[in-house]
Amino acid sequence: MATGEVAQRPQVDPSDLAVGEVITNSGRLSVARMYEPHAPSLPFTPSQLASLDEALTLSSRETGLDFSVYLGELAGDTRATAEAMHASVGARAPHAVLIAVSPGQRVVEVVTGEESRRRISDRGAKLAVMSMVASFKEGDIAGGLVGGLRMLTDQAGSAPRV
Amino acid sequence: MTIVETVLVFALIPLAIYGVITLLTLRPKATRITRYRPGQEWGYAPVWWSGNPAGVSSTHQTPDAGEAGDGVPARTARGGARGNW
Repeated sequence: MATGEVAQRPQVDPSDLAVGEVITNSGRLSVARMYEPHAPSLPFTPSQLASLDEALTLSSRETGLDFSVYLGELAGDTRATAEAMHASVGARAPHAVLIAVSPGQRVVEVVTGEESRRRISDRGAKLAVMSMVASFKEGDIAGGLVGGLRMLTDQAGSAPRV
Repeated sequence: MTIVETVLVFALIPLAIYGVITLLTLRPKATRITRYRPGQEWGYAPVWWSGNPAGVSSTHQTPDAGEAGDGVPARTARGGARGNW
């Protein structure tokens, strides 16, 4: 709209206003809507989600590897499904570390690629898995993931300087 | 004021108010986070979190990733570990 042009308000007929709508004295349409709280999509508190997010970001930034966490059902052969997910990452797959957790099946899979396996040995990954399993046994999914991410980060060390 | 009226006004009404407030605190909250206990069914939609702001997605497939045929990406997994509880 050009400078100096006057904005035209759409004309609203007061008879077709819905419940909670009103035209104010200035001509503005005011609409009040009912607030409907929605159920959380995961059994985590906001602070747990924040610490998970921080752990993921910091571990990826510190090591230069692409950490990702999958939480959900692993259909069929859990290992094969996790490896297929790792392959679907694309060009960065050699640098990717996938932690796949299926609480319903009580299974956790850590999948490393070509470069990430060089940085995180299978023995180190197993140690992280054992630490995660100890927390998952208590029902602490978020805490176990944060602890596992920290252990894998310590294993991988800092990103190589070019 | 009879003794019955006294009891009704000074005992029953306050007790009723206390009762209503107690019931209000017991009602289930719609946004309550139910604690997950091991062995329970995981009835939540799957999530895949990543520290990469671009996200992990198979739709951003690049040609140099290589394919094993039939559009299935080549196996990239080289190691790792697994566990159950």
